[in-house]
Amino acid sequence: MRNKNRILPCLFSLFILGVNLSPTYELSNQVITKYADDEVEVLNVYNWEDYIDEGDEEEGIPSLIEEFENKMLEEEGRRVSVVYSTFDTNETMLSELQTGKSSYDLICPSDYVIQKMIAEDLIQPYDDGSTPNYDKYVSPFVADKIDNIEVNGEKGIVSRYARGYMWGTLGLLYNPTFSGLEAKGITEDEMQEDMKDWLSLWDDKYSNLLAIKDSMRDTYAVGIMKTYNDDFELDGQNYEGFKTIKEKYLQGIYDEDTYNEKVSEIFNLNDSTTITRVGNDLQDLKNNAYGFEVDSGKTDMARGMYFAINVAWSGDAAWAMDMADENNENSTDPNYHETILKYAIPETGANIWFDGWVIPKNSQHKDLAQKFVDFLSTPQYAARNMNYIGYTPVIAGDEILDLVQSWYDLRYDEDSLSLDSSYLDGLTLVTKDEIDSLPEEEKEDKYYMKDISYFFEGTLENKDISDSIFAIGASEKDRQFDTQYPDSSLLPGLAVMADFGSQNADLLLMWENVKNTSLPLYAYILVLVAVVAIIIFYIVYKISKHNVKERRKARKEMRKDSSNAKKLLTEKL
Amino acid sequence: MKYKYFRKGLALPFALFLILFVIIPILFIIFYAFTDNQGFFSFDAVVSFFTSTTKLNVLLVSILVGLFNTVLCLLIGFPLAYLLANPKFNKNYVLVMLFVMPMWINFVLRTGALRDLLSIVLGWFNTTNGEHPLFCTMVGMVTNYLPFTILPLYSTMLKLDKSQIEAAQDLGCNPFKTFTRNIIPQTLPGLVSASMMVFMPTISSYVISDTLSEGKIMLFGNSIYLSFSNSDWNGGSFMSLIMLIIIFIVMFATKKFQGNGSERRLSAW
Repeated sequence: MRNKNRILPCLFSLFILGVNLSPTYELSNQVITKYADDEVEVLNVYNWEDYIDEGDEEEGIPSLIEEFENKMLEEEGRRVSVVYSTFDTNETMLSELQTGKSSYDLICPSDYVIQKMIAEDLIQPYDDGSTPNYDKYVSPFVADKIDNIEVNGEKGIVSRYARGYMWGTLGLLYNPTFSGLEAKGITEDEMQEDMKDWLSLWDDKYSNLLAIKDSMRDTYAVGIMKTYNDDFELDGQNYEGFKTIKEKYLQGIYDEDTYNEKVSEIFNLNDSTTITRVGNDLQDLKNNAYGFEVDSGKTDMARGMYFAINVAWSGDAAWAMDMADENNENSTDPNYHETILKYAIPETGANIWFDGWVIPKNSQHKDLAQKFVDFLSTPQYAARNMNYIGYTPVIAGDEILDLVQSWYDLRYDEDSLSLDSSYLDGLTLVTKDEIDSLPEEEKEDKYYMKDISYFFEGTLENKDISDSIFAIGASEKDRQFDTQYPDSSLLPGLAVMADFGSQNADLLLMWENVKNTSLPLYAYILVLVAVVAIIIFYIVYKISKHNVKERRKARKEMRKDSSNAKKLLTEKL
Repeated sequence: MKYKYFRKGLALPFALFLILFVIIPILFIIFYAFTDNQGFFSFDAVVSFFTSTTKLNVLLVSILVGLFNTVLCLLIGFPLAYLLANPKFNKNYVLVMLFVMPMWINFVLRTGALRDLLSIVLGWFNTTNGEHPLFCTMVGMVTNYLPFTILPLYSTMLKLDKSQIEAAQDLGCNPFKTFTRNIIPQTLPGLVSASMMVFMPTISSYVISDTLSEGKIMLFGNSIYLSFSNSDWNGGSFMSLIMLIIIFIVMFATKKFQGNGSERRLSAW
């Protein structure tokens, strides 16, 4: 989850405070009363808000936390109580940890924060083989990305300190059905094509139609994709831009790994020159944009209001699409304007991110923490999480494939379900026969094939890897499925954005500068004139007051003098 | 003697409250403002604030928006309060309630609703909120702070000495002179406290400008928030301290217009 500063939801949640806090409190209280003796082992978990399956009280589905507690009791006879708390930005969580006041056993920060935590020696590595399920079911694709993150110039460290949880990309959520597009003469196909390029955000055509993230790191990621799109020169050295690298990759000059390395290298440039350049581009972007948003964007997009393009995290994008679809279905208004959202990862590359579980140095229950992570990494429970939160887990495996197939694959066959399929309740399935019975030409119009075996490779047991080739409805192109699992041709262009380290202060200054509202020159002159006028007025006022006083004094003295003179005169006379 | 002590004792809870929730937090702010992130004494935050044109510009923009908002609120609020205080127009206090009522609705919801409303209205003129961030922000500010101007003005207007106005008219003042020479001086305490209720909160507010300007106008409050959310506690604290200093300056400058005790108590409802 990448919601950095959730101002509005925070305030909204004040409104519905009871609802928001109750799961946490109830859970911990329940458990504490369940085992009212000293043998309870307490596991302190610190996670993002709404980032775990909280079950359904009405239908009696226990939350994953309760499931874990029950499992520990049944299988190992241990009385475990999970105290679950939530944070809303990486930064607040980190400063809590840095001050050393916290006592959490398990935290779920984002990739760059994990990097920072390792560098600052705040967390401890996992024991070898402590998470067998994770090792078995983690998608090789994500594991590879995690492995490739460098800490102090070394690779492979992050995977010793962290276990992935959810992952996603940063791309463009757009609304080709937006009502303002017609006036500008932008057609749906044209937009779909344009969204494959970050530069479209700077295009006049889309001015006032796009919203960017009010979050420093994410918007920097967008900016650098434009700044270094073409070949550039830095510190007297020539570099190839994103476009050239991509072309060379397509020509076969670079293989996948080299391509990814090159993209990551440029993507992670953060020297002062680069920051200034990106800052200038972001200034232009701000002028072209409708505005900034953090959390309100997904709701606005789902309602089809305000803007047609939104820089979005894949999880939010999928959420917005679901929301828009639901609105379309539920609408009874005959004049209702349907909103169909799509998501694109531009072809020159994009940011890939993940959140992972880490164990702080001062954790008292490392063993339990590892067990909890391993529990969440079981495909069965990961599938429940995926169904509940909408983000994509890093875990692959039969159950996940089942769930994804049931959502998206047209040929989905109910008989091919494996293991526990209780999480599929309430989903409508289209059978294999139904699509196979279509005539050949119609089939092509109606669906396309997509291979996501890169994600499931080596994690499947009962299912075959060929099951991860999907038949997707043609209208579903660039929709939820493509959002959650990017097309394999885009993968080498995805780069993890590292922590900015000591450059963070510079970046903050640049960001403040971008956000700053500069006034027109005459406004400054006016202010100056006003201030000077006020000061002069004040001085003149004081002087005139002073003069009045002086004059009064003088007059008094004069009167005194004259009366004295009179006295003298009368005395003399 | 005993009675006196008892009366003083009644103030104790309030004193305790002040110490816990006002004085100690301010001390914290001062501590953070003059230390670096290791907790040692330093002027880093001070220097970085006064050398950053961005931050100074944000402060200037906020002050201008604050002044603009104050003037607008007074321009709209003054005649309204005058009418409301007139029993001919406002029987039974109902109209005053109508102006206060929006404040009972959650302020974020109100702002969100205003955003939708503005986009519809601006849509008629073929434009969008994003193209007019300042306009939208000002509309939001005025609607939000208008009740805060009307109420103090209303309470001073209630005590307006009608016979003085009549006397002024009888003695040959034209309506304009009656207004400037008589009504304004009589309502000055209300005017001052109304301005205070609008000016300072405007500078430090950030939800209105964030929502309605679509993040395009950064006020001082946004800047402070940005510092804290990027764990620049020292810089953020120093900026908060600047806010406090501005409050004290404004309070000091307007002290002599505040009127006597009873008026002040009424206006700072």
